[in-house]
Amino acid sequence: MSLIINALTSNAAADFVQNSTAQVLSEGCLKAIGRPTFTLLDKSAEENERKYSATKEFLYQSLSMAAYFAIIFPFKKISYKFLKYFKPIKDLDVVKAKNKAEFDELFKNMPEGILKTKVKGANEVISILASGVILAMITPQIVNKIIHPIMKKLGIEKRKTLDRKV
Amino acid sequence: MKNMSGIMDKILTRIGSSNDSEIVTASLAAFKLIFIPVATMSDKEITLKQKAYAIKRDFVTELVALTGYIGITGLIKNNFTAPVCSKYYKQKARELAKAGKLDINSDDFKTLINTNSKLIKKSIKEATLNNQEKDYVKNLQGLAEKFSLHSPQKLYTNTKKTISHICVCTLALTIIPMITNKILEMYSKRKSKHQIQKDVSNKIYTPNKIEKMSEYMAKTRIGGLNVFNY
Repeated sequence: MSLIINALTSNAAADFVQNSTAQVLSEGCLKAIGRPTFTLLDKSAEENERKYSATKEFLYQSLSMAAYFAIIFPFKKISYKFLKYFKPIKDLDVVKAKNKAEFDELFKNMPEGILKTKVKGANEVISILASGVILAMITPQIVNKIIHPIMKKLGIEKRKTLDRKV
Repeated sequence: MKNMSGIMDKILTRIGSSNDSEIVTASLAAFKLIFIPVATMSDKEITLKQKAYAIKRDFVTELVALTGYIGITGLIKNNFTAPVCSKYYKQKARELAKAGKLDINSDDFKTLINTNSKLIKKSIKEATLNNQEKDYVKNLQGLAEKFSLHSPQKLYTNTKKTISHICVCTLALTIIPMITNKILEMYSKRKSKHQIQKDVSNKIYTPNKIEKMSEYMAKTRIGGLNVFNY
């Protein structure tokens, strides 16, 4: 019990869960396990429907994590460039930084207060939007392209064509 | 335009000051609610039935996720954060007493062991506290400094964030897919029932249909619908 309380109240746990990358990755990994499992358990659909949906779900969640790792970290190096599009902070010096190192330095030296909070918030909004584009727009299209070869390899689509012939 | 700038201001301040898990996950669920069914629609190599099921499932899952992440997470973090904080101080009081750093008859020990969870929650908005409550929170802050514990505000914020994330993870792993299964099962049963009623009223009595209907009725125990004596 004391271990649980210590973990729930610790600074390290709070810092970890504050990071949107950590949030997306931990949630995504759990979804890759939970959703396909429950899809296969759904008795309201036929077997081939369930198998297609579960395979798609599993591929989507696994690929999302890979795409996220591959894109979001390089993106974070240039994300500061988009801060100028946020009206409430566009005139700040930190937003006019010429490179990531300069931005980090200026942000670090900003006095704690509402302006620093807004810059942090804008950074998180950019990160959420980028995640949305990667996870909801790019990844599903890639999954569409690779799902059928994989399903054929697993024998799921082959069985479907045999069923049709019968 | 001025209004838009105000909204943007509020969003940046809110996310910048507390980027809770449910905000990120709910925003992503909103994206997925639209784009994933659209992507499934564009898959031309699957049968119509597979497509319909996958789209239905994606849409229901993301809709449940969107409401669950905001509603259930909000409910749990609002009701469980303060009791956990109170348990933290009680646990620390016992540990300090055990280590001989705190006398169990002292006022300090009594303050920590009888921590008022409601006041910890209230202490986040200091303006809402009355003088007596302010003194209590100040006393607790003093004790936290003295024994190197978390201050009530820091403790409440940390615990709220962690509980919110654990809740999001639990929802993602089990609760959301489970609710989706239930909804799809209910929808499928309802649809089949309507189909049978429609077929009966249209007097479609092919032997195959009758067999299917009686199978379905035996399975779902629909009463008052005797197709054979219709």
